[in-house]
Amino acid sequence: MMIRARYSKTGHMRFLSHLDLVRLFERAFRRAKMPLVFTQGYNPHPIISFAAPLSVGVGSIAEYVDVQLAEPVSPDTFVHLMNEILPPGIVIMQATTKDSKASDSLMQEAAIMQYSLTFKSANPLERTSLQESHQHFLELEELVIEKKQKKKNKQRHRRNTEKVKRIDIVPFLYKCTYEILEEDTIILKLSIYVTENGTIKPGLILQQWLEHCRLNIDSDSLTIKRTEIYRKTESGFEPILPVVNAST
Amino acid sequence: MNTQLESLLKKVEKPARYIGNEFNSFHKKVETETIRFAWCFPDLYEIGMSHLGSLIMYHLLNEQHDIFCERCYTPAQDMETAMAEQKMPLFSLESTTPLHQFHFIGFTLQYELSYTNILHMLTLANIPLLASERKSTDPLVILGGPCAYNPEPLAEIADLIVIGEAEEVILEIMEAFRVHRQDRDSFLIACASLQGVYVPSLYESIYDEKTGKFLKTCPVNESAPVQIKKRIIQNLDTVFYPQKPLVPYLNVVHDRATIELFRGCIRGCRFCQAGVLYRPVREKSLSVLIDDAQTIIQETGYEELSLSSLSTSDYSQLKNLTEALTAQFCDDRVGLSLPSLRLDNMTMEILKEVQKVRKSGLTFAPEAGSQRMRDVINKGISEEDLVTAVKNAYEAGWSQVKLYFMIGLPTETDEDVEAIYQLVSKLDHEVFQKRDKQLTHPLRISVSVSNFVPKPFTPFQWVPQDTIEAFDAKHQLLKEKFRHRRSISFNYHDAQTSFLEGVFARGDRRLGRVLLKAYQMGCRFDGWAEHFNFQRWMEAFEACGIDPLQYTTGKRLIDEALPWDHIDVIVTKAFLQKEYNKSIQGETTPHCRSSCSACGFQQTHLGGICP
Repeated sequence: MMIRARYSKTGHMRFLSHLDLVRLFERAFRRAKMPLVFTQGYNPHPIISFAAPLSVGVGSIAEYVDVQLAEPVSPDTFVHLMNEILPPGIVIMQATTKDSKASDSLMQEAAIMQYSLTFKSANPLERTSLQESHQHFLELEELVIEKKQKKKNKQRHRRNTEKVKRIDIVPFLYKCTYEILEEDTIILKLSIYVTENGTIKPGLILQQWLEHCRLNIDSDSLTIKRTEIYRKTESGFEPILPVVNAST
Repeated sequence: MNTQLESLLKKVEKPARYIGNEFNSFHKKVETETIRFAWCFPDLYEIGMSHLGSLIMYHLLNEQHDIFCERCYTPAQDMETAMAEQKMPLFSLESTTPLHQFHFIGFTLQYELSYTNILHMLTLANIPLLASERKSTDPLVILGGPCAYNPEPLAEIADLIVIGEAEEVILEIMEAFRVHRQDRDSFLIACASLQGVYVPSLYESIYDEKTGKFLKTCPVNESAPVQIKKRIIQNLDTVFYPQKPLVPYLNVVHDRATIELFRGCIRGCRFCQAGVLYRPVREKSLSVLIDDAQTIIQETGYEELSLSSLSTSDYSQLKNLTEALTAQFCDDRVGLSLPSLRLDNMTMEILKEVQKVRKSGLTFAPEAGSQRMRDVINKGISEEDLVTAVKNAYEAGWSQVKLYFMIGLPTETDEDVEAIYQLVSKLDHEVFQKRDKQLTHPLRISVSVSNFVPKPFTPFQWVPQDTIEAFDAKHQLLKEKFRHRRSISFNYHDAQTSFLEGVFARGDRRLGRVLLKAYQMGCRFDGWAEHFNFQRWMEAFEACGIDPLQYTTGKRLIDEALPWDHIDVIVTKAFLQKEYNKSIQGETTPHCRSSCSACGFQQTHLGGICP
């Protein structure tokens, strides 16, 4: 059987890399005595898969993990056992069982990622002109950015070559709204498509948006949080695993 | 959450080095009577978190309800810069407390080239570097670890230095602190009478006025013993061993659970300092080890367990132990790793069984190429042993074999150096070229050559170290030979770092000044090739008017005073001299289990023949 769980990664835990997090979960599953299923071969690993990796420093309240188990474990027991041993900052919010043969992997299911970016403007805000620039930003038909890609050369000499890729970010943007909290604090909410050709990091879109709105920000103040991952359904988009009890 | 730390974490590479909060870490409420101990490792997090001794001390101290031991590692360059911008002093991982607020700052000395990082961390913490400059409100700096057996280069930095195994004596020091915490001087004097504690400020070093030659180090206070005897744990079964050890998030160098099979080593290789310092051999019993393993794996979730010791094949019940552990962990796919193996047949049989779960590379350490040279260093391995072992390994499915050698050993000639190449070629020929043609997997041999650095308390403590030029010439010779063998990878260590290691390994108290000077000139992370600046070090020696060569290539007479003579490791100087004389004659000494060589332990209460 398979368990699918939704978890949060907040506080200092958001500074863990994706690989650190994979290791953390493998060891946490062992500590919680989960009946893991392993890959074959000389270096066996438990069968675990994650949705899209988070960048180091980005927090989240909508991370997902699938884990295969050799014996049935009820979702409630799973949540209870895991939260008992997970470090503060990583909390299982929800779990369901899943037929391990059926349907897509988390990677394939993720269709839209929603982020919330909070930051302080370095200068006083002019609300009207910000509103106008934002509107104009949304109406852009094309916005090409240059993305540097490091290509690792696997040949003998291991020289890394840098390649610049030109990408139009407009087709990736599903939704973009902002909200002014206090005097100078802004929350930018981004919903970004995950396509066969990949996705765009929220920080890159933020950069474009700031340039477009002629805003300077205090970079120390920026925090980025993933708030939801949606999958595509017949009627539209829905969270991969909705949080049933909002208070937990 | 500390917002200042938070803003730093956003700027640096690998911020997880600085967040603490690992599985099984401690978080305690600080009360007025709490003794605050900062366990510092003078290198990056990934190195420090791989050190078993630090792990033991962290958990041991935190077992005490009135002690809160926290950790600190040397911040990387980017973090240091970011901290300086915000004027943030060096802080502990557990509670982000500035280090100068602690009672104790403890450093472990694992490597001579980490000494500048000690000064660096003290500086980042705003703690005066010299013990004599620290006031009663400043923390006490306490040192220990293998390099502390020659404590003199750091004598002016440390308030107290632990000689030997610290599990018991550290608690005695803490008890002395509870009694004398208001009075630094009486605390230090109380510590000086504990076995295994050296309080350098109570001693002075005397040199010949004309020649500057070292004469002796002697006490200047009547409470300080003339000889500081190392501390030994008598029974490893009952000594504290962490059952819920820390589990890092980052991929650290040794990222696995560890059980300790025994301390000491029966072999008596003459170059090996650990083989002398950690005598006598004391094994843990089978049942204690199995219990340790079971609990530790459960409490950490690790996927690998390392069976650690100086020579794991020499654990008397290794077969029983590996069988029990394999049976225990097979279903959960917990692999066993066996470092420091010898090449005998029994070991190969055990390895084949063990590595059915996870297969790792194999490492052997013949140490020298010619039989003559191996006899000089008392490494009881023959060429035939090595060929058989590698053949067995290859036929059992291994395709990676790592071989460690040393150059610059006493009496070494160019023929002995070349013999390394000949031995490796022979292995390749005998094992791979003559293989059963049904075997299709490759055999990749990697050869790693390090430069021999004579260490205190070994039979080679008197011998001159090779010069940098001599090492370079030998590297060149081997490089030339191995160039045409593409299936063999050849690596060697930098000779300049070995030179500096040699200076500090056998240095005296005067080197403290050079260390300070070099640090002020910008030396730090000297063990890292990208930071090491040899030129700067030479300028520091020059500025202090000290010739570094006197410590390395300078000849030491067998009866002359040595800077570590006031440290008593129980192994006698007479035994070391005898071993030195035998080595020059190419005579070998049998291992401790086949006959006792009377190293000094036969006269202690721990008994004559070691187990």
